[in-house]
Amino acid sequence: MKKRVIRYLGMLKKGIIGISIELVYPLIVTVVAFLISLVIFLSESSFR
Amino acid sequence: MIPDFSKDDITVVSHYLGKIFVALGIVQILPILVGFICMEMAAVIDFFISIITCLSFGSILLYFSPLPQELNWRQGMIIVALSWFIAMCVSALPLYLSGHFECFLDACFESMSAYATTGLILIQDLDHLSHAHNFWRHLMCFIGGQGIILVALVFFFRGGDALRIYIGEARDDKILPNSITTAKFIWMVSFTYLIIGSFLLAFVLMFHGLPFTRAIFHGLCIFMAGWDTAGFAPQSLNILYYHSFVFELVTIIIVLLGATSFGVHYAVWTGKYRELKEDFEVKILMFTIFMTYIVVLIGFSGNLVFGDPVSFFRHTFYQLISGHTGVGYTNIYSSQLATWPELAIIGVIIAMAIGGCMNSTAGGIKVFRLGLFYKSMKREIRKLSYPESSYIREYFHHQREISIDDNMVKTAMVITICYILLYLSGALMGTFFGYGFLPSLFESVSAAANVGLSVGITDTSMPALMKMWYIFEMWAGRLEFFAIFILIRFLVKTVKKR
Repeated sequence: MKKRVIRYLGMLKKGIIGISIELVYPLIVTVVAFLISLVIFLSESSFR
Repeated sequence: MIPDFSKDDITVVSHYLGKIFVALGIVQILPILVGFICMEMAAVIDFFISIITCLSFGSILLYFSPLPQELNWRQGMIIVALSWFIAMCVSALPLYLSGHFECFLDACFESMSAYATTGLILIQDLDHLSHAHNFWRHLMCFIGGQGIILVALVFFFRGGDALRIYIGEARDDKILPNSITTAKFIWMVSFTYLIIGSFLLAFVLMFHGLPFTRAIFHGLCIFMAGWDTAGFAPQSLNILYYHSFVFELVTIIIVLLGATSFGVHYAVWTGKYRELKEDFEVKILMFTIFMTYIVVLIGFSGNLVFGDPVSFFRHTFYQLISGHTGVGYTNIYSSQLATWPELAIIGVIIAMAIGGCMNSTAGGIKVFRLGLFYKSMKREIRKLSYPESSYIREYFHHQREISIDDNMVKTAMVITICYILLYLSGALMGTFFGYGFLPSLFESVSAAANVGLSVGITDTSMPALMKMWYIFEMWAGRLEFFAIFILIRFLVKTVKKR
């Protein structure tokens, strides 16, 4: 059990950068989507 | 000659179903603990009855069907299909006993919706449901999203047998060489994110003024339903209840990670960071998210009802991402969604129908299959433009370079056609019962692709036949058909024999 926990923590340590990257990628998607919606919103508003 | 179903098949299936019953009984200890902590004795009794039922059935089956020979593929598929059906029935018992459901069918609908990570609900007066029952609803989402079999795999099954039922649960990614170690890895990723995600959500809720214990409970529930793309929430208003843009952003992160393949998680966790950029499935997912979002936005042109760009973005993108990843969280009322322009609704329907990545917790046709069709089309076009004698190969990157072959495309095509037929069948049934075609299609796709967004059709007043059909859609959609087809064949053969 102890061995397993140590192995898990070892993997987690290695994966911390991975987790950080994984957390950033949905944010990038959201920001890009926001920019698209902003462009559409502004163009719609200007045509009104 | 196709082998006939024998008595051995029934013995093997009964033995493993006995194990599933026992596993389902054991997991219900968790809501009992919640009941004790919150001093909800009536709820504790409900779960106690349910545990006794599960353990009794499990013990009887295990006693009368001792472990026979090794499991074969056909038996594995039948076990998976039946496990999900049995899980629905026994897990509905404590829900029904809570008194928040009009009939047992509604409770079954709710539990299948949770296990299949759909998120359509028929519960009455959710805001006054006990914490234990509410926790159980979300725990079912977590178990279903991971896979009921995946829960049992870690504890109860042997190596060879494990693989045969693991595949039956619509998972074919062997992240690690052994299916039990793969199951353990999936649990490790999910538990790590469970801790990170729940605390992040709870922190945001505390920042917005929710007391500590309440924030932790809501954070935990929202994470379990969000990561497994189920879309249940502890309050009837769903995410709208929190009125927080930051909270919505955190849920977007969770659901996008939930809709990402565990293979990609494994690669990134083991230091292959570029995989996130290079994986063919992630690329297709990004592409389809942006394309369907543009369709939704174009749908609103000339029909702009939002006063500012942030509110425009919050309301449109949240429903889209919720539909695409299959989570079904919503920050608007279903009556508001029903008034969206038709093109915007079509955009969400397409996103829901496509779904997330393979071997993730998301439902739908899956972006992988879509990408496969694109690559196959590209290969055919190239074939036509090169001399007849040339051999054309097309590759995609999914953890490694894979060359597409006709069998791969054929299987993907069969499953995609099954999904489309399932979507249409629900839409036709809705139309038959007097609902409009587009709302019926929306609701049917939402059920079959395990999304959970609703335009208001899913309601206790819905005809019982529609409830049953939606249960079937959720079940078949989650297991990707083959296990269900084999189960139906098994039942027909058994009845014919008698």
